[in-house]
Amino acid sequence: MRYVGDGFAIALRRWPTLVPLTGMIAVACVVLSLILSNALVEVAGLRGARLLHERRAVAFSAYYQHGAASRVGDDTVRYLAEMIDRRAAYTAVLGDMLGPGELDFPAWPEAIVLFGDAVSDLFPELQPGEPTPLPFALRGARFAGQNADALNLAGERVPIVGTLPPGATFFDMGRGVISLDHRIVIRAPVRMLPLLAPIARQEALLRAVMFAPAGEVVNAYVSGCAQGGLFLVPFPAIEYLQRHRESLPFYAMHGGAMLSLVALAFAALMASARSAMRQELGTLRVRETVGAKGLQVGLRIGGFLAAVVLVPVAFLSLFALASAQVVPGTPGAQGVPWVFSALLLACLCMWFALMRDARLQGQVGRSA
Amino acid sequence: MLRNQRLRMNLRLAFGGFFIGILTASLVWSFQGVRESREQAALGMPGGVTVLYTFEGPWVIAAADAAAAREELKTYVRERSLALVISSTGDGRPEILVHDPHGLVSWFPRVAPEDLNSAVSEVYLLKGTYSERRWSESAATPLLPSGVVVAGVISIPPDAGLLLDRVQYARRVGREPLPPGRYAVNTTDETQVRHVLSLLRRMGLAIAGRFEAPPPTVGNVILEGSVAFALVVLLSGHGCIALYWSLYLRERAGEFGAGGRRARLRGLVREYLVGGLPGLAAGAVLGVFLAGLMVAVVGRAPLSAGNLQMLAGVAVAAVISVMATWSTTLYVGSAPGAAGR
Repeated sequence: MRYVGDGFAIALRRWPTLVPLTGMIAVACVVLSLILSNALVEVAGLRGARLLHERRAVAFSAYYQHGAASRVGDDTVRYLAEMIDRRAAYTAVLGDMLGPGELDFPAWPEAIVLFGDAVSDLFPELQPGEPTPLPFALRGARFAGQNADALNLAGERVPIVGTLPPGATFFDMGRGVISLDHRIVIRAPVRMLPLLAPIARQEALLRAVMFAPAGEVVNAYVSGCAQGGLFLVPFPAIEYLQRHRESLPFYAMHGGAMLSLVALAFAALMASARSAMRQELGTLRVRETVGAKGLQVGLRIGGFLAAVVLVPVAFLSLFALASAQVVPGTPGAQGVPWVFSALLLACLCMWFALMRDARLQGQVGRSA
Repeated sequence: MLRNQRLRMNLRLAFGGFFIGILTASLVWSFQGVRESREQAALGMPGGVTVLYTFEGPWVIAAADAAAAREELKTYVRERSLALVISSTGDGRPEILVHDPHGLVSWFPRVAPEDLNSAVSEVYLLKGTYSERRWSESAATPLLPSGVVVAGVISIPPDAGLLLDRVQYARRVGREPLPPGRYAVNTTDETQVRHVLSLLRRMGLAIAGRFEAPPPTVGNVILEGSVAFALVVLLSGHGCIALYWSLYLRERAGEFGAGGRRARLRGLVREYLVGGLPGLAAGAVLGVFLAGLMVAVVGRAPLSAGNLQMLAGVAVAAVISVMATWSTTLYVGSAPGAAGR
């Protein structure tokens, strides 16, 4: 332990150089993990959209009359229900669209209601192990311990048949990737669609996704909804892909810039560590003659590097904690473990390089 | 200097130049991005633009009061030679409302002054939208209000199209109540914006957010957060590389020892600056072009001649800046007394 402390002291004595460098590495690492997290979410969204594009899916962008909920006729709701029955479409009620009387569940998490068997093909995680009759519910991974076995939706009892794997997601072309860890997923039969309150019904209409629909089908649906005051603009999945692909260069460029800064800061750090070790080598060598072993030199270098990465690691952990608290349930600090591992790997490389350096110098010193 | 040593020095210089090249490219790229987003926000209006995001306020406003405020707003915009573009953000129909008495909005058909206060029944479909396709196929327009006439098809600038999401048509502001949404007015003057805000409140609209896009000149784009951050990152990069190089020079400090200052400087310039030029230039140019290539590959957009020209410009800037840093490091490192530190 004493040797590690020695390494710490070597680093602390050089704080005017090391603090700015580790500060830079810290900031760059936090920004990098932020960029990486967002890029990972974006890529997951693109993957979801590609899956829908392969089925030539069409989704809708919604414009509502402000104030009141739309009043779309029952025939349009039935039109969608028939398509869902034929597996030519599916739909979802996302977010807090269910009224207080509609859903009762002890913990009251955000619920997602999904209509359509096509969901099982697109999101295999949302299918319980054995075939289960609809309706049923799956709780998010964060509610794994909860022992409630059923909930009520629109007056109907829905058994909770299982727990989703951690990290399960749903993808919607309007809302993007939705983490299901903090949510409860209800798979409901189409016959329950008309039973929903107007707001939830409107949500089900506008989240509809149709597979390779004929032009007339889309037109009839759009006209039916528009008559009820819900203006839906259809768009194919390829449009989502095109728009969101444009954000990838942003992540690439900024990620590249942060990596460059980290590389430069590490180079400067490595150079100052070398010069620090060289200056301290006198003391180290004296100790070596009185019995200091390679291991002890290694521990000192380890202590030095630990002091150097302490700041970045603290920053990263704070960032991970903060993002977990601010936005529970959204994919937040996914990038942190990656950046963290890369940082440790870089330190390991530096440790080996410095050890080799010390050994070489030790030999030079002895032969001189 | 030995050949081997020169090669090693050039490798170190190329290492620094490479990453500084990437950072320089990223700064220029952020700068371009901000400029483009400013131009997008302007929706084809000249000068700086203020964007106000509004929603229906919780207070109750009598229809007559709201109408009076609306007419006042229209008059104000006309008198100050401004233009107002209102686009839906999900509330109301997928439409854009334009009040442009002086013909400032390039893509919107100019209106005769006597028509400005008439009731509006004409709409212009936006090219490439669902409604335009459906109208040209079957004259059906389910997303348009009943009783309007399609007066034609117009194109909006492609950048603005992305911002406007899936808006289907544009029309003039008439005598109907104005919906909540995105209000863009081409002024950044605080008094004018405040006056517009008070009129919007009197119309029953609450403000959800405000975004200012001053004209994209070099001076005010640099102040934008992302560009300022990229600049700080670039400067930090220069700081790191200067430290890295100066520690390398300290190892070789003995070499600058002999001779008078003038002779020493001359030797330094020849040995280190000219001798290091290949490494610096190759590194910086490689960094800039690699960054450009990465953006092109990730964005699946081939590099155009314009892109290449810009990259070349950025590469020159990067080479000059790393040379400046290297010369400064050399100068400071060779100063009398530096070797002993």
